Parts: sequence; C-alpha cells; structure tokens
Amino acid sequence: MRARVAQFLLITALVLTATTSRADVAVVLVADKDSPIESISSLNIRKVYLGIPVTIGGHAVRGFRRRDDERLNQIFLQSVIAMSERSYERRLLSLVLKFGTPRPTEVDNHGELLESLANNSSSIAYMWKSEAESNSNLKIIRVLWQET
Amino acid sequence: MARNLKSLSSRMIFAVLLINAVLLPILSYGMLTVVRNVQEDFFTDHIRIYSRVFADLLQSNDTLTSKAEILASLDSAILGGRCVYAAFNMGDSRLISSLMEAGDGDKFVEDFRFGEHDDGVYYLSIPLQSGEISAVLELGFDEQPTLLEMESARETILTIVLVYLLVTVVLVIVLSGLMTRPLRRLRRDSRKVASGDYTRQMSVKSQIFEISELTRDLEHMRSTLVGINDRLEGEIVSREMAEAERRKAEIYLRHTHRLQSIGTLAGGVAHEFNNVLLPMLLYTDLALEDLPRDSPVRPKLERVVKLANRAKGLSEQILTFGRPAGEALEATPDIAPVIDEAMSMVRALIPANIEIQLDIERPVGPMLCNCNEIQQLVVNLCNNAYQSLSSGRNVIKVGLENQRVTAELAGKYPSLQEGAYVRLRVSDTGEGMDSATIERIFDPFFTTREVGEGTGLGLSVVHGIVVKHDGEIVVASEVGVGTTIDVYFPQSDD
Repeated sequence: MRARVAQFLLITALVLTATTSRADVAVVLVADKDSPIESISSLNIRKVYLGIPVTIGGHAVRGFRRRDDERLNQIFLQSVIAMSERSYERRLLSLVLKFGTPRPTEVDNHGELLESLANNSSSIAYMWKSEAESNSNLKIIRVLWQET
Repeated sequence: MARNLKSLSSRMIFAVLLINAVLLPILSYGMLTVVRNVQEDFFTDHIRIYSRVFADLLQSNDTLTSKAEILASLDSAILGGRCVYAAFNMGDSRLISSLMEAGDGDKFVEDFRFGEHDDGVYYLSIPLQSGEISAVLELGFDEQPTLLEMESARETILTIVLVYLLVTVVLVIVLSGLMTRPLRRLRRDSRKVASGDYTRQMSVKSQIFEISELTRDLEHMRSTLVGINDRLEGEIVSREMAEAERRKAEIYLRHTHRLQSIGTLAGGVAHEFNNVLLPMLLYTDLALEDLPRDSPVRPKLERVVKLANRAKGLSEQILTFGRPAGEALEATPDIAPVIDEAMSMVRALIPANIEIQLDIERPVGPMLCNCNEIQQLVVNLCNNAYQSLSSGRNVIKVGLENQRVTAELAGKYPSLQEGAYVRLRVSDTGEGMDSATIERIFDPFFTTREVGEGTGLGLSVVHGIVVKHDGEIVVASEVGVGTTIDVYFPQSDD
C-alpha cells in the first residue's frame, strides 16, 4: 500500500514537472531594462533582423543575434525570419552589398549578448524565456515562440 | 588473358574506370547534396513565408475574435497549397482544419529542418498576438511532393552518371583503338625486320605525334641496321677471301719449306754420296791403269766405273735440286733462241706422233739466266708432259711470252713480285693430277710411273733451277683434262 502511494506521488510529481517545464520552454524578445522599447510588432522584428532600418521613439533599433545555440537559431529562423538559413544569409548579404545596410550583430555567447544589450539601450535580442527571467537587467518585450 | 590485361587498351579502360570510380561517387554525392539542399531550402522558405504571412493576416484582420472566421482562414490555408494541417489554439479552445486522417494532428511535433521526423509532415507553430488575445497557430505541410522531386532528381542524376560512364568507356575504347592500331602495325613491321626482312620499310601514319616520331626513329634505326648489315656482310666476304688466301699462302709456305728441307737433306746426302763415289772412281781408274789390257777383270772394273759415273750424274741432279748455286747467271737479252734450241732437242726425244705446238713471242726478256739450265728445264718439263700423255689426241703446247705479274698474282705467290716477268708455259692434254699429287711433284724421287721407268728427279731439278733464277712455278691440273705448268722468271733491267 505504501509503495503504491509512493508510486502515485512520483508519477504525479513527474507529470506536474513535465507540464511546468513544457509551458516554460519559450523564446522571447528582450531588451535592456532601461530600453525605450516597450513593444515591437513581428513585422518590425523581421525588418530589424533583415537589416532594414526601424526607428522606435526616435531611436534606431539594433538587433543582436546569438550563434552558439543551434536550436535557438532554428527557432529564430522559423518563427521570426520565416526563411531557411541559407536564404537568410543570402538575403542579408544581398542587402549589405546592394544598400550597405549593417547586418545584425552576432555574438558568440550569452554573456557577450547581455553585455551588448547593456551597452546599447535601443537594441533587442532573443533568448530562452528562462534565461530572460533569471536576469533582472532585462525586460521581456514579447514571446516569439513557445513550445506547444 | 594476362597479356590482354597488360595491353594499352585495357590499361586505358582500367584507368578511366578507376578515375570514374573515384570521381563519379564524389560528383554524384555533391550533385545530390546540392539538389537536396536546394529542394529543402525551397520547401522551407516556401512554408515559412507562407506561415508567416498567414499568421500576420490572422493577427491583423481581427479575425481572432470569431471562431467562424478562424475556421474559414484555416480552411483557406488547407486549400491554398501544401498545407495539410492547420490548428488554432487559444486557451482551452482548439480549432482544426486538416486533410489528414482524424487524430494525425495529435502527433504534432514541431520541425525545424526538412525531414527531421519521419511522419512525412513538416509541423511548425507560430505564436499569435492581437491586442490582449494570445494564441498559437499550428500548421503542417506535406513533405512527400518534395521527397518525390528529390527522388526524381536523384534518379536523373544517377542516369546521367551511368550514361556518362558508358559514353566515357566507349570513347576510351574507340580512342585506344585509334592509338593502338598504328602501334600494332609498327610491331608487325618490327617483327618482320627482326626476322630478317630488312627491306620492310616502316611507314605507319598516325596523327599522334609520339607515334609518328616513334615510327620515324624506328625507320631510321632500320635503315642504319641495313647499312651496318651490308657492311658486315661485305666484311665477312672479304675476311673469308682473305682467310682463303691466307690458307693458300700457308700451304704454299709449308710446301716451300718442305722442299727446302728435302733439298737440304738431299744435297747433304748427295754430297756425302759424292765423297764416297769420287774415291771409288779414282781407285777404280788407278786399278784399271795397273791392270793388263787383256785382264778378264778389266770389263768388270769398267762396268764399275760406268755405274759410278751414272751415280755421280744422279748425285749432281740431286745437288741441282738441293743446292741451287752452281754456274753463274748471265744477262740474256732474248731467251727465245734458247728455248728454240731446247725444243729441237725435245723434238728429237719425243716420238713424232706427239704434236708439239709452239707459241713463242720474240724477243722475250731480257733476263739473267743460265741457258744450259733453262734448256734442261724445258726438256724436263716437256719430257714430263710426254710421260703424262695417254691415248687419243696428244698435244704438248709450249709458250713463251713477256708477262706482267699483277698484284693479285703476286699476292698468291710470295716469291713473285708485281712487275715484268718472262713466262714459260708447258701444257699437255694428258691424264692430269689431283691436288695430292700436285703437292708432291717436286719432291725428289717422287714419280707416278712404274718402278724403274723414272728417277723422279725431273721436276725436282726444274724446281731447283727455278729457285736459282728467283722464279716461280704455278701448276694447274685437272684429272682427265691435262696439266699446265707456268714458270715465271723475273726480267732484268737491261
């Protein structure tokens, strides 16, 4: 009887844990906590990351991109940019070569990303929701993707 | 089989197959990868853009408040392209439009790469936000058409590769045939030349520079070999001739040395014989003087003297052969009269039924000679010719003429020198001699006649006289035809 109770409790805990973690897996758009950016449409997010100038509150918005997390990168390409990786690279290269627009700044790791956001108040970046919530210097602007 | 495998054609085909075996898989893999990437990128771009636009439309048209409009939008998404599944999740409500079997949508696992899962559907989800409303749009796109296109492209590429391989092999076979045909002709011509057909000219025509160069070089080598071969053949012939001349000279020298040895021996014997004979004659003469005229012993002693004189004559003849020195040679401006006189003696000695033909040039000479010995020589030669005659037409020819000895003749007989000579020729139509007989005719006491019929000293005396006159005897004889003996005497300066 005691064993059955323990088994039931364990299963319940596992189910609850799984449900909780499943709900928490999301990718969010963040900015520095002092950033003037409060909201931004999905279209403008694409513009920023395609190198097309976007201005909010008189500030030119700049996008930062992480390259060290492949899954995050794929979610970014699918949910934000809506292109394959090669198409995105070709598109960026085309814009840079044709119009001289700066391509989104790429950083190598999470720490570098946080430092870049702190130094550029009108900049945005994307990261896992759990990472954003654990840092008080960031504010979440919107959810870009979440696991269903 | 192994020989065929080592042929140029086989090696070229093998090389092409090897190169293709290495390169074609790489090329095929590269092409397939490019095609797959292009197809995947096209598919991914298409569905992502489509999904994005569809999601933006849903967010911008305030349709999120009406379930009917959401369902209509989902249905339009299903009917608009490759989308086979569309679901709208907002809180607890869930709206689905699908072309798949009922319940397939429950397998929803979001994909981020083409073919990431084996369900044949590319699922993706897009968060929607319109005002305060938050929802999630789920879309599923059929991967099968793209997979079929990729399979079709793969088959096309493999077909092209196989056709390319086949064409390459055929081309290599044709090209190797073009290359090896002139080489085979060259090999055939070379073998004919090697087998001794030096006249076979190598004239293989080829557009390939190396082969035409090889042909030219081989032809040059052949012509050089032909020249060398001709020269070698000439050298062999001349060496054989020289060898024959050397053998003849050796025989002549050996013969001469033998005659000299015999002469020395015979001279010594004759001298000692004379030393015995002279006291015998002397004491016999003294005995005859002391004997009364009517002594019955006198006829016997006279017989002894007669025989001793005969023996003395023999010994003198032997001395003539062995010791050519004797009476001095005198300058004779014309030797023809000497021969005439000798022939008159010969005519008296030889029966009348024997025809003697004379061919004497006048004048003949000058030369240094002992006329008596020359006459003795002529008589001996004619007597020898007469002795060799048999029944039938019996002719003895005697010729005398001035003769110039050529270098060729001088080369054959070392005692002759190129220059002016007197040639005495005595020929007969007798039985002739074989080479073994000719070899020994000048040996003292050698005779082919019956025992008692000849002394065998006639030609030995002739030889001694000729040697004394620095002359040479050339004998030519054929059994059953006759014999010709040429005697050469050097002409003097005046």
